[in-house]
Amino acid sequence: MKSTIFIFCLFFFIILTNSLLGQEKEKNIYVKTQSLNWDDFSKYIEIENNVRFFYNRDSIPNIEILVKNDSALLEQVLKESFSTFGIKVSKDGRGNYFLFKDFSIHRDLDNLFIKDQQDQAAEDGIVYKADGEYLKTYQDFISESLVIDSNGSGNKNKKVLLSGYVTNFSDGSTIPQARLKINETNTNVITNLFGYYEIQIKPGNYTLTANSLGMYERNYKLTIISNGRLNIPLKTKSFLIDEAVVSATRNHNVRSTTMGFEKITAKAIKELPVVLGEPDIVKVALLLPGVQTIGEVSSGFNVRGSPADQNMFYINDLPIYNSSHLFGLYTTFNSDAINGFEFYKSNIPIEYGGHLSSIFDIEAKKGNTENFSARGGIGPLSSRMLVEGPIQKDSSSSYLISFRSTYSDWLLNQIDNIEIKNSAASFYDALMNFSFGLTKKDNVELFLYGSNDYADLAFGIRNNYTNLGASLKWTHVFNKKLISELDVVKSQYYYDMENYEIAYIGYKNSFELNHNEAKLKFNYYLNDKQAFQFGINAKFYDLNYGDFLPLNEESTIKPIEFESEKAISSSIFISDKWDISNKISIEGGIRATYYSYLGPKTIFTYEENAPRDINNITDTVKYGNNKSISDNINFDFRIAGKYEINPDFSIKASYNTLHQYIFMLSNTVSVTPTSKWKLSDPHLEPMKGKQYSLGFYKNFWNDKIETSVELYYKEVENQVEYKDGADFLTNQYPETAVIQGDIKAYGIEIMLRKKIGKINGWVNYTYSKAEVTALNPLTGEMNNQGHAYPTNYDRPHAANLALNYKATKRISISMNVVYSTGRPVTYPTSIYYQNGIQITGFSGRNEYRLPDYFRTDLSINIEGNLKKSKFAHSSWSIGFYNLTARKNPYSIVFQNEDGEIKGYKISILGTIIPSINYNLKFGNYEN
Amino acid sequence: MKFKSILIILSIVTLGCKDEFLLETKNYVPIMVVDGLISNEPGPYAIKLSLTSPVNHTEWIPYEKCIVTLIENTGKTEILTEIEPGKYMTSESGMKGIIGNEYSISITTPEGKEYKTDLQEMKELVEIDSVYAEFIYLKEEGYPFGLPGYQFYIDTKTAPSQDNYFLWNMIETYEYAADYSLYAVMNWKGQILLEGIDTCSDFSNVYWCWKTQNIGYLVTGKTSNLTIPKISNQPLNFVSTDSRRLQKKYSLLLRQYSIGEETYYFWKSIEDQISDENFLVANQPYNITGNIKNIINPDEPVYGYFTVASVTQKRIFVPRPPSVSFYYEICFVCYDLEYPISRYYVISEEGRLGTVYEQCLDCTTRGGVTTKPEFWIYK
Repeated sequence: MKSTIFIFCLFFFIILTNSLLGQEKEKNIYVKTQSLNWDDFSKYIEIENNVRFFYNRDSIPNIEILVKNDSALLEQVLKESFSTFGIKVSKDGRGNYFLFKDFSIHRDLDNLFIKDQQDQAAEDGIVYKADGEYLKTYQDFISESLVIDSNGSGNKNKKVLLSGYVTNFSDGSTIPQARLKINETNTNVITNLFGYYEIQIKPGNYTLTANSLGMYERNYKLTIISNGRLNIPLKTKSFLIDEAVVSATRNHNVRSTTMGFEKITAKAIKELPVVLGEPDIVKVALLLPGVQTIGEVSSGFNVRGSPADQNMFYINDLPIYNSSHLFGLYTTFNSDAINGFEFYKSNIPIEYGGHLSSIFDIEAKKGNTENFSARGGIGPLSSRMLVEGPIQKDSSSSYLISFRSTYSDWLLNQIDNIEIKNSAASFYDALMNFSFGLTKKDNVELFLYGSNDYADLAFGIRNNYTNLGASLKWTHVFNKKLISELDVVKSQYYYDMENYEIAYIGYKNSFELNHNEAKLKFNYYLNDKQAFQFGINAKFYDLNYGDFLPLNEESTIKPIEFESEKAISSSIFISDKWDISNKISIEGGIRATYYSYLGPKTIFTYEENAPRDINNITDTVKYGNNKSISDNINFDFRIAGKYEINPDFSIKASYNTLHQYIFMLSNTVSVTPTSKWKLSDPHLEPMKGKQYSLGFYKNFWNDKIETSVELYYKEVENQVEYKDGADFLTNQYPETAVIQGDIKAYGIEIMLRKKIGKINGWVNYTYSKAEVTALNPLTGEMNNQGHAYPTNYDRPHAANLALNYKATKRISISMNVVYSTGRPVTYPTSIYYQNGIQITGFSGRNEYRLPDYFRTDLSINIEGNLKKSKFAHSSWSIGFYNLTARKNPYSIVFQNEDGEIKGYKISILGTIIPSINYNLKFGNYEN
Repeated sequence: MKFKSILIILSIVTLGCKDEFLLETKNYVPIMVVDGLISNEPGPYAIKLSLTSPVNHTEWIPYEKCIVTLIENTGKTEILTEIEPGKYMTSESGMKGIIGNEYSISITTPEGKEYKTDLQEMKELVEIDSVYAEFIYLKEEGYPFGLPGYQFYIDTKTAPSQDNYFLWNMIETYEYAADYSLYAVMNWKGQILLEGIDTCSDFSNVYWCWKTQNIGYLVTGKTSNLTIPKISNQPLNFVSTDSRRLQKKYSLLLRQYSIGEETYYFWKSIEDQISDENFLVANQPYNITGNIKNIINPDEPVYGYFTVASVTQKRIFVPRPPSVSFYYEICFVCYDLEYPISRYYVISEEGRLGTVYEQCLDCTTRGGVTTKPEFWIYK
């Protein structure tokens, strides 16, 4: 820890010195001979020379910029290139270049902007006006001064409407959820799904701040006279100059009603240290408060005391049931193809239902609508490739295709172990995202996804598991207040396994989960105070348990047929978000779900108040196809409120209830991809969850530092727990293998985050408890003698530090430090004998704990030299996982050695693991 | 399932490692253990009652002075005699197990607590077709050409009925020698005498030993899930040249217990737990409860099982495998004759004279006995 503090101090020192030296004077900029299109040229020049270009994207053609001789003056090059288009080039002497048809700036005049064609501009409702304050330094914000007046005069008392789109400066795409703030009135507006906003305001002088995730903030000085339109292009914090690890919309944490929420960008994911050369979204999530895992090779993770099956991954609305490769070492989402993710662990949005603990909403990248581009990466275990581009020139349709595959087999072959040498393991994942801008009001996105893992282990087990899915999303804008979205989704999770350990009982088995879903939702913006969301959602589950079959002729295993399972859940939901005043906001929602378990199916009736056992079956009823066997209606509620004590400090509280109809059955300590899923049926009640949370949010230093304290209490009823020693593989009566119990969890999460600056990152601490009670007092069925026991992932103290330091423009260093209490384990406590064999007696379930977990990772990103490669940009990432080489125990094994029980710690990745990754991108790419 | 094995692979792939650590457990609570069996074999039958012992201090803690009654569904009962602490036996002329009849036991402790089992049927016998061994080179780390040894298998005959459940217990006996035979002895005067001259140092009767032991794990199987009720090629134990077991001759006694379904699941859990202990515990460990219940408080944990089984057994012998490498360590020989480590001189395999410690001449120090078992045969 001492060294960590030292490094931290060192970083601060470097930052200080850098910022002191950062003031630059004007200099003439010369460029070398080259030929690039304007987009690339401008970006390159901006990066290389610390200048910025300001221009109206629509009026500047993406022409080829030819520099004929070395050391050409930049200003001259620009003037020559654009003069034919009637574009004037001017500069302010502080590194800002302006390229506009209609006006230019004259640095020595008081009025920096001079209107050339005010009339034409006025038609758009925007009048450019001079303002001395329009520029600060390069690093800070730029305030532009505008007059909004569509007809030249306005009524001073009547409210007028300011509206427009917030767009991405680099590709022209609109930015939903961007935040606009009128500082004088403290009015906050968020753009809708299409990046559109409206502000009702009295005419007058205002300052408007616009910002969004991963974008540079932009400030305007507005003189609003009448209704008008203002489109706000925001610049991406590009790869080379970006400084933020996590940049949720500024102030979001204090001002929104959302709690237990994180929004993380692809960039943030990439800036954190990597394992075996791959950036990974789940590894990022594990650095957030309240997120735990059992160990390094567990598929899935645990959020606020819930088992892994209570989380759901969605990528572009497509549910993904297995999110891990190589048994948990990797995530099945290639982070190159991901824009970022939103993670909800408290107030789960009303449009989602069916998973109690958290929603991981991943957004895949949309293809670039302007240019073709490609990128790739080579790492020690896997390589990735991504291409994207417009489907048709000059349309807003695009495609993006990514593929990632492993070649881990060679690594297995290097290991001096015959069993491992003879094993094979491989994976791939691929996704395709097509976006069609049909009309200005309609957008259709088609998303396809697939991932696969294959493992053949020398001692007799073969595994193959696959996710496949497609989603189609049609968004339609009825008018500025009403937007609809229709999603049609088909997702499949499939695995098969073959066991050839012992020939005469060799078997194969498969499992298939089909999740088909349709969702129609509407966002209705009543006014700038109130927004409604409502819709309907139907899910159809079809689970095929496959047959248990003999592997080959040698096997005399009797085949076992399993019935498949079907169920439909239909929901209707509505929520209302209401800013009652500037200080108080509330949000409420209700979701009613009708769930029906469908035939064909054989249902067994068990003797009442007796353990569910095949010997207690009293009746057998066969139901026909699609006949409803059991059904129920459940209501989910979401209530959240915010009270803003001042703009930097707020208190929020929320309460929500949820129901879950599909569970994962597992008797292993860690989650494995071969666990089967099961639907709620007449014997297994849906799981019910409720959570109360209370949070305090305070920002410091002009929102540069965010802090929060969140408390929660959570209960899960009807939690499905495996009975001790039960078998599910060949069990045709799954209800006999489980008990429904309860989980009680509570905790406090403290977070401190610095989002921007050369050094940024976060530190958090969580104290939490999660206990399970599995006892059915009526039937006497229980685990652990009916006593409550800690969950396998109960780690009371957990602290994470994630730091990113931008040493130079080309080198960044990131580090994370993870500490947590060891996970609970069951110990052998006694010895006895049976028929001459020594047997171990165990303690109460999870009565003991593994030693504490501690890990430090470091990675260094080095950007290649832009000057040398015009069309391709390369970078290296060098990572060190577990820098201190601490042998964190993953589990403990007990071995009987000559009658004495000895304990051994098994650690995975228990040494420093270096990795190196080479990344290459072609064409125009922002991040 | 067998996911633990996958984890092993991964743990090694991902540079996993294994380090010993001190096992510290608190609050050891002794629990009653029942270990008993009645079979169709001629009695007397034994029921052992004990208490669990702590992990770090393994010992047999007998549960004495209980009243143990064996009950047959015919109404016959017999009270067992405690012939040694914790070991209760039927009498020579007492009850005999008969296939098809049902049996249970009841136990009353000196504290007055009463326990019993339900009646269980003694299942019909399924005959062993053959027990056989295959000589293989097991792929194992550290043995580039594989570890040579015998893999034992069992085939049963086709059972008369479909649902059969088996417990296989393996008892091994092997003949082995002391590492060295004595060549000469130094007497108290410092004179070196050839073997046999000093009668106080006669090791010839402790050169050959036989060791018999339970192999420490068990195998279960069933035919209820098979198309024909016949077990074939069921792997049993593997005996390799990494120990003295194959030094001269090895014998495996396979005892096959035909048991009921419930009994099978008990033993299957034990089997799974033992094999888990050898790997990474991926399955949730738990206490395996048997069929003995406290009459008043059925939730009181009692370990162990009263097994009712029909038993058959088969013994096979395997010879020392010819021309293979052995991988066990033998005694150190000190060739420095000026500083002998003992007064016992031997000729090493290399043909050199040296001294060894006394235990290297005595096979009984490795747990064997010098009496040849009755069943031991030489071809």
